[in-house]
Amino acid sequence: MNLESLKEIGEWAAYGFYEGENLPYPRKYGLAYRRLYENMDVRIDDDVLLAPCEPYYKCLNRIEDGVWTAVNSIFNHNHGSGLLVSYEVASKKKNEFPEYANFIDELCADLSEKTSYRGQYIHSNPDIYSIVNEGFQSIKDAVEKEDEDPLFLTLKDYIAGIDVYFQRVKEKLAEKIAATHGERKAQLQFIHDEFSNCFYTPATSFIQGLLSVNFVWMLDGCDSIGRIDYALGDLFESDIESGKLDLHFARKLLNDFYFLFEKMHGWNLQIGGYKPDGEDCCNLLTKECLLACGRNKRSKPNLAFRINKTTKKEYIDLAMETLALGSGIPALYNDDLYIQLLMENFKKMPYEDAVMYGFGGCTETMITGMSCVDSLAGSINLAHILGLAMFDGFDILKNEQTGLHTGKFEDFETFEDFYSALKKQIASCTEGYVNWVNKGIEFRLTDGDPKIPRTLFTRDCIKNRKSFEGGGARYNWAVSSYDGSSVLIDSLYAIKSAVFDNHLITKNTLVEALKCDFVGYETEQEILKSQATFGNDIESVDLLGAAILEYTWQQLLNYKTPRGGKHVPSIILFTTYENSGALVCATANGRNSGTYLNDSVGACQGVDENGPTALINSVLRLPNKLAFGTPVFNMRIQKSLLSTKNGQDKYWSLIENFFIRGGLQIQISVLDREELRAAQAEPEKHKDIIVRMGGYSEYFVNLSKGLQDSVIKRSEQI
Amino acid sequence: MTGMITKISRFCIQDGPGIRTTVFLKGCPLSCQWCHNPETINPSPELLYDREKCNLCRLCEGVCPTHCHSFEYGIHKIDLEKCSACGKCTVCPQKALSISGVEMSSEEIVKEVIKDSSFYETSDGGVTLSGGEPFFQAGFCREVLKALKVHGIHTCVETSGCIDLSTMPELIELIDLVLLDYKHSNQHLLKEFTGESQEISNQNLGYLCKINKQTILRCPIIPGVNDTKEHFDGILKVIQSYDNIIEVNLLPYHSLGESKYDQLQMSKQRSFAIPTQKQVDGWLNYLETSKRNAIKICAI
Repeated sequence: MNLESLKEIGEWAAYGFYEGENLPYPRKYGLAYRRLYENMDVRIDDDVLLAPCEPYYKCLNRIEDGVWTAVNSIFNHNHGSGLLVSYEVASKKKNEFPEYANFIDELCADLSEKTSYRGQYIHSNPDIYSIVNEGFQSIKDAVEKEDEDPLFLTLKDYIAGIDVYFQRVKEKLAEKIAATHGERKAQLQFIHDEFSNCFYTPATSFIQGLLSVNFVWMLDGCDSIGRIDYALGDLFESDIESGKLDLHFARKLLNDFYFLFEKMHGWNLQIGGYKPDGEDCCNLLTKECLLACGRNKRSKPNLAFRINKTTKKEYIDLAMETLALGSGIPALYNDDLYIQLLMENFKKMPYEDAVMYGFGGCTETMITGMSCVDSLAGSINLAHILGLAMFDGFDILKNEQTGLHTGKFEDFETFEDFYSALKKQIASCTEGYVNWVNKGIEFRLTDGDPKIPRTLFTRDCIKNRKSFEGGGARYNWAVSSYDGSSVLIDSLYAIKSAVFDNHLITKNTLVEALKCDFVGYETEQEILKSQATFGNDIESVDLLGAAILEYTWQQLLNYKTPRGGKHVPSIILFTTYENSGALVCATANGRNSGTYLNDSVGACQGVDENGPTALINSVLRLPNKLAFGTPVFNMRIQKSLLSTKNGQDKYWSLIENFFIRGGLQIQISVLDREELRAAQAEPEKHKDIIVRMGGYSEYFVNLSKGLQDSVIKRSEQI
Repeated sequence: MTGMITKISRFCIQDGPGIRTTVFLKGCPLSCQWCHNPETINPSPELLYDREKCNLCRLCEGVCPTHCHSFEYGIHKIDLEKCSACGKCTVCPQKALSISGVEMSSEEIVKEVIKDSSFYETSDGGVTLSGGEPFFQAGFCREVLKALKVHGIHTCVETSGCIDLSTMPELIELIDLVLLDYKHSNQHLLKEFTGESQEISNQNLGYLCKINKQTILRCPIIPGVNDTKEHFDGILKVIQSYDNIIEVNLLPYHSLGESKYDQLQMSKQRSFAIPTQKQVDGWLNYLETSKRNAIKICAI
């Protein structure tokens, strides 16, 4: 590839990539990032103090919205996936450089071939603690003293790129200072001075710490961050106490941090929980992080509050007050149980590591700064598997045999016969799924983007002399999600009750009704819908569900990934439950073909009629502890009921009970059906309504009509 | 023994302390003009018909043994004189027809409410008997409360106070906390709007104080009826006179029960305005600043 031409069209990552093409793997990736950092624009927005802003992510949107001014890149650092080709940018660049149109086509074809499927999107939670407490210089030194191994040469190239980029941020800040006046000039000068002393050396002030955290978060790919209050709480408190830090200024920077999280489509940020010494971490910064949620009312960051037996009530009260404001944030986590389950499942994990757990993406469980967790590795659709069990492994929507032959439903003598066929389908689908995931991971062990930034910001990669993708992290597991659990449970119970126990519908009729999507079988559909359902505290239904999920999740837990970690189940459906439903034929709970499934571990939409205590009792009968990847439990609360201290206290009692009895996590949407209907009718007037979708918060007006309807339909569990 | 129940609601957070299950008993001798649970007035089961849901499929007409459903000119008519509330017509696929009132034994009630016992424990909650007027079925109430006490469950009874409580000391003994209505300070207006005698109401206040029974005073705010300084001064007088009263709950009128009058073919005597938040806050503030003790006052 002609390097001069790449320079001409500003393709710096590609420039480095081809520069290192003939060097041993993974040198070309180090050079690609090095040239990118040496040349990419440094962005410091006029209304943001927290420097720098990540310049590349969603650059196309930024062109459209007029904010983005930097040169964009065909070969782009895609967050989570590493270096990937963007055809949208290529098309734009062909217009910009018509004389290079053919060259750009060749470039895209070549790069696509060399990088296709070599970058799997995974979430991460980088090691902010080491950067804040020890400084990047210690990591740099550890790399510098290593030999000429290709991985270390790659890391050295990357570090050289960071060094240049860091200097360029300082220069850009100086440029901005020169062009600014008044209060902002002084503020920028302060940021410049603090930035100059951050990142490489241990932070000696809260501002330095926050700038370091922001810098790492940006380099890593704007994904998730561990406990900011644990990393920076002591500095924050001492700076406030000594008068060195102005609270108003600190709040402005936290606002900026939250703004960047939303703008860059960042994910999870954690607060609270135990420290390695067994004390609870909550401090003044915990409160400020909660207050920032209320102040900013943004859909991001997805703030995860770890609550344990020793968390002081004042922090819980503030969390409930924040939730009452309606952003669905923070999500609440059972700290004691997460730590216990991590130590039970990973026998060699010491307490000091377990307490450092955090979340990547929506809410996938990982250990901050120590893990490479394939999240989400993928998902298994239980409602789809149910269809395979009904039709002898035949997918009636695709019209092809995709599963095992386990017998026709009409031929099963007993419910147990059908149940046994279902288990066979589950076992077979799990095996197929794991093989597919493992194949991808195996490939990435030795080829593709090794995720250089994450190799530096994840503990043990350097010690183990392996990249992040290559299995260098201390902990390596994969989190997979299960779709349609409640559709499966309700359908199973309806089959048992309506077909086998009470003979309300014959086996042949059920099969025909499902094939016809209930057209002409409306009475049968009503009968199926009228059977008892999950979410109403009906023991027989819940236990049937618990048994099949236990079997299902144990199946997955039996497997390991090529990096040596476990495959961990979770139930995390965000906006995906609409799409998952599109692939599923009519089901025996009376659900029509192609319609949405249930949201995470919750009941099917609109069927839970006995209120939140009943729903909690049902959910707690499921083997949640096996799905510690995180079993997302979304609860909807009527706005008016959470508007008083009495309401907040009683809802906390409900959540506390859920945690005491083995609930792992709860996310709360504070809704008002009338308000949602009004938002559907006039979205312009209701842009700020945020609802909780599976693992994260989203603006209601941004959802598809189908999902909006489904949110409205789902019970407000008042 | 069985009682007549309209419904059992779980996770009630406004009917006493903690998380509670509220059992609504059917039958009430009063006729408060703002009643939002009119289906609990009649002590017998009744048919409710939701016109909005009905699609005139006439399925009910075919299954009704007393022929009380008829359809003329696209209108579904129900002759309630003929209706025996047998419930056969509740097969309605649109769920437009339902029966309010089911006979339940105390064992059945305990079986249901005990499902949330762990929530009662962690929240210091329990079970509330409400209505209707629970003491209208005093014998059944006693049986249910006795059974709840066997399970160590905290008990509340929400009463209008229209039945002389001093005649049932054994029953009152089984109650941990009484939620007592106080609807109007003027005896004539109280009688006019509710049919209640202030004499019995006052006797009950005195009796509960004498036996030192913890009590929450429940005061509906009905614009045009009792949103007067005179009435709120009456509330102040009550809370200063009876030291067994631990809390005052203001209950602003709401119109959520209005559609039920239509469903029951009952005529509502008059409509009331819904108090604004400002009005409610004003009365809260008045009580807060005028009270002479540390009693908790809140609107729910």
